[in-house]
Amino acid sequence: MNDTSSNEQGSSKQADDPNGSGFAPESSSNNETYDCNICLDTAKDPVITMCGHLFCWPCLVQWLDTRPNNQVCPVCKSGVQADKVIPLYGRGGNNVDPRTKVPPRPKGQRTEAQQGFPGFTFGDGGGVQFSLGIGVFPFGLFAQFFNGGGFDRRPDPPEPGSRQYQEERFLDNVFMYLGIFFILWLLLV
Amino acid sequence: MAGIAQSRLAEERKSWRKDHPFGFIAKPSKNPDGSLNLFNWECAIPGKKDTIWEGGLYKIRMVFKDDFPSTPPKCKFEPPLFHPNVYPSGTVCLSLLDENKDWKPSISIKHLLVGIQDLLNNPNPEDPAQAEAYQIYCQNRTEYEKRVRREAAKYNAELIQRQMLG
Repeated sequence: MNDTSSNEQGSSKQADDPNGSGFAPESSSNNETYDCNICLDTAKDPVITMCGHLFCWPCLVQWLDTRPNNQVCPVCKSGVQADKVIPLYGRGGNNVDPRTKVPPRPKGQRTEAQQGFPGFTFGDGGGVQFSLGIGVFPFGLFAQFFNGGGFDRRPDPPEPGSRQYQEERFLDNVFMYLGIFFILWLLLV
Repeated sequence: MAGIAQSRLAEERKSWRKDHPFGFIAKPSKNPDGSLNLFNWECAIPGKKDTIWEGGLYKIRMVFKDDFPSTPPKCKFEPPLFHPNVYPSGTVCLSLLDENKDWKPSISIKHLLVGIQDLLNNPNPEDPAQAEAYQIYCQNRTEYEKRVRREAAKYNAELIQRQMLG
């Protein structure tokens, strides 16, 4: 259990290289490719964030739990959501259901391959949207007409007799007639 | 969950023993009964070559909490060091060691020690932690360099190494 002093001091790279090949740093970095970025051990119940960083699911959950208001990737600090991480299912994983652990690892997000949609053309969609626009438009005017002066944010009405007052009276009339015209038009059509 | 902290620190020790930057020391402290305390490390940072810190080996203790690596360890120079960003208690003031600033769980002990080594010769005058070193650093640079060289001589690398490694 006690440390041998030679290993704790200076560069012990050569001494620890089992193959004596001099490639120790490279081979060790290969093994570390699949290490969890939090516990630094081979990832268990691995999940990967949208930014591409690998973690054990229990490690990542613990990190996210400690900062509910600032959920960032422990490597690159990009935003991370627990339900947006992707579980990795390797070959020959253990048969224990990872979901028995609390909290459960999120499920993979399956989407069906896109085959193209022959029935869906631009004309159809456009038609629906267009009629919706016409349908809503008069109500917009309607609201403007009846809510006049009802909003707190509006500036105070101008003094009676001023030019602005006359202009506003004129505009009020125009919009009232327009509104009446639209209502009549709607009823007749 | 202390489980993650425990296994992470065991991994840190494994990876340090496999390979670590030259001249640095990092080892878990020993309990009175001789077992290792992974939550308390005794480390030492050498002054960078070709800087006024060269030749010194500065002892620093790292104390980990149960929620490591969600929170950074506390790093404390023992004895306290003459440096603008080291508190009179010896605690290091560094954004990398601040939970609400640059700390992230993927930072290893190796990264931290190298980061602190870098801080030695690149003090951050925006964030002073002790009055003495900060004032001398701002007012009289030659005096500051003299004081640092005196520190380096006091904590002579060979001496400290013999002390720590027996």
